[in-house]
Amino acid sequence: MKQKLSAMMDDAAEDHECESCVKHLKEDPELLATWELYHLIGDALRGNTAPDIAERVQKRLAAEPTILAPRARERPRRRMTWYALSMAASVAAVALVGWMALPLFDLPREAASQVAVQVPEPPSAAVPVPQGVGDYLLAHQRFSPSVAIGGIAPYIRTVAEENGAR
Amino acid sequence: MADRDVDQQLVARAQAGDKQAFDLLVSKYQRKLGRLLSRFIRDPAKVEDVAQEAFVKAYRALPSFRGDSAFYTWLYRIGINTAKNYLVAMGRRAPTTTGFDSDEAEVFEDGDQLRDINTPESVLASKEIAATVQKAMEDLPDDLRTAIELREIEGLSYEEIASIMNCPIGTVRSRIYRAREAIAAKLRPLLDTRKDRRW
Amino acid sequence: MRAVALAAALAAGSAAFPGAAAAEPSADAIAWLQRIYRSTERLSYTGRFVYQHGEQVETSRITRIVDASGVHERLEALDGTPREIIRVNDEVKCYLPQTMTLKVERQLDTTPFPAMRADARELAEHYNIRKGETERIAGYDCQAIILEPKDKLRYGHKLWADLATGMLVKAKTFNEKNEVVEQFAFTQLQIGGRIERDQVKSRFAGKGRDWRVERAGIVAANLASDGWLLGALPAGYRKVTEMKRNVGASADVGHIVLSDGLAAVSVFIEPLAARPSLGPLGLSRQGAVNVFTRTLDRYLVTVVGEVPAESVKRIAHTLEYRRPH
Repeated sequence: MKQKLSAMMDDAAEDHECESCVKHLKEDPELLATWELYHLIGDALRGNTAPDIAERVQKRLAAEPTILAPRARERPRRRMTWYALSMAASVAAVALVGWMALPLFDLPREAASQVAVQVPEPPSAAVPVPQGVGDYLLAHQRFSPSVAIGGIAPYIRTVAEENGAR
Repeated sequence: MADRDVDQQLVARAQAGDKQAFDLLVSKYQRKLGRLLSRFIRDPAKVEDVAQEAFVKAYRALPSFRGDSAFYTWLYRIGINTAKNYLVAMGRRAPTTTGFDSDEAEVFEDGDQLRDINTPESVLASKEIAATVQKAMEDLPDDLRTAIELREIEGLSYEEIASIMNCPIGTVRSRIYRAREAIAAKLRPLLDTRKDRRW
Repeated sequence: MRAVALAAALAAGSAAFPGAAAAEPSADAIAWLQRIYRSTERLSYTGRFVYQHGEQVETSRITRIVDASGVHERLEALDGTPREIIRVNDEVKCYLPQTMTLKVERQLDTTPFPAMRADARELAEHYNIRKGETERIAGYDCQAIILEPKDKLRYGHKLWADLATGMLVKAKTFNEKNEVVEQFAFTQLQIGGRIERDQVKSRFAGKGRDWRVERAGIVAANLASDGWLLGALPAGYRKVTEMKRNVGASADVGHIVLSDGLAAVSVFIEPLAARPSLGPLGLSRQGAVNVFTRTLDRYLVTVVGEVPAESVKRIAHTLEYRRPH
């Protein structure tokens, strides 16, 4: 599996190997540590030994609302045009794995059904900054019965999210 | 071989709701981005802050990333933008060198040393890591060392390396993996002990 | 599995529908649900509860006193950012001492379950409602009530209520994959009995005058007369109430509340001009809540609810705008 990881890092793994690898990365902390370590090695060889901020970024992102904006599969980018020629002889048939076939591990089932549906295009203006979702949630909580043990208990949920997003 | 690179795959997953996929991209590009930002921001602690900010912005902007450019190119632009905003907020004018406006990200990447790092501890840590990697490289058999150098330092693809080393691609893949593992084996004990002295 | 559960429910004492088909709701379970709603409204209690959604877990203290003068509540977060929420009848105040912000909201009514229909049996059209096991929680023997969605347009719920009083003691929300997306449970609870009045008094009110006050400014409204029309909503969802209010920094935001009798979905309509920059459009999710945003004419429409993504998306797309002359 580490060998697959190594190849995947170099964009040299088959699609099914990538899938298998990504799946294991989610489940195996040792493999995840290896991903980080192999990248550290690459950086070190290039003279870059900046400190590791991945963990703090991860914590910070955990508080962010999860993006759900799957894209319909677009034309694939070919990294090197000439390799297709030299590869023909030594590689088995290229597996064009469609988007729908990618196993969606922890994703809500809706994600699979989103593909065929038009997701509204984000505005082409400046870099979008998410704003005010916490305020909407706070306004909504009053009516949300799931955790309602009284008129105000639901508010505890919103305020937590609001502060987490800050 | 995959006709989408791993970045594209991870971005697609992240866009579909898989936050962990984005974490993998963070691990991959954190130092590269950090080095870029340190060209404009002196204080290494601030570099870390701005890098984190850039990653968060990138995550939020993911729905608008179409894959027209490489992920890192897109991340690079966001990083520059974030650094610019930081400098402006600090009351400093953003340098008008080609660094900010150039699309040629790679010009600034190669061969540059990181600016001075403050704490003696982190200086030591970086030096230790660099020294361990260097020593491990010296200890590698020639074919493994060449393979990993061509990949990591020259940035060549497996096909190109196979051509240069006159061997099958499968051999390239195996050599690079074995080189990485050999170096990793020497780094792991170092990083494990460091984990207890987390700064 | 349903047949077994129904048989168990019937055996447990509800002989109202002997030999009923599996789809027939357990009348006892529905009666339980109504009891839970009533009790939560009229009981006084004090205790601590844990609220969890996703990876985050929070502990809070809550006290509620219902008497001749009305409803008084205090909710205090024991973890994380300090915050306190005080209710006196229809006015809710939220104190955030770290930012010295005070959010004030005078609500249109005081029912704790405004989304609930008068007739809980309507719920059975969209949920399989049945009794679950009994379990001891926070020192109380509780009855579990299961609400299993009949389609993919809503989430599942499981509620545990005190056998003696019907008070809700624990609740879980399940997504379409049967994963728990949020839950809350009392860890300490005292129902009724002697509850000190000062337990519902704010610890922040009156301390200095430096609070930045944000008023919700809620007024009842008829958004249809402004040109906002909802087309065919997903099965079971109906409009429950609508209003105009402030949300964050924006004033005059339209707010429509829809519900299927259990789950609530809010539709917010805000002029684009009021927003300096837009967040990403489309779907996003936070814990049990799905959010869908889109633009419509010169407005930003935001739909939020503890319902599947498909539902917020559909609801967002049924909204139409006909500019009034």
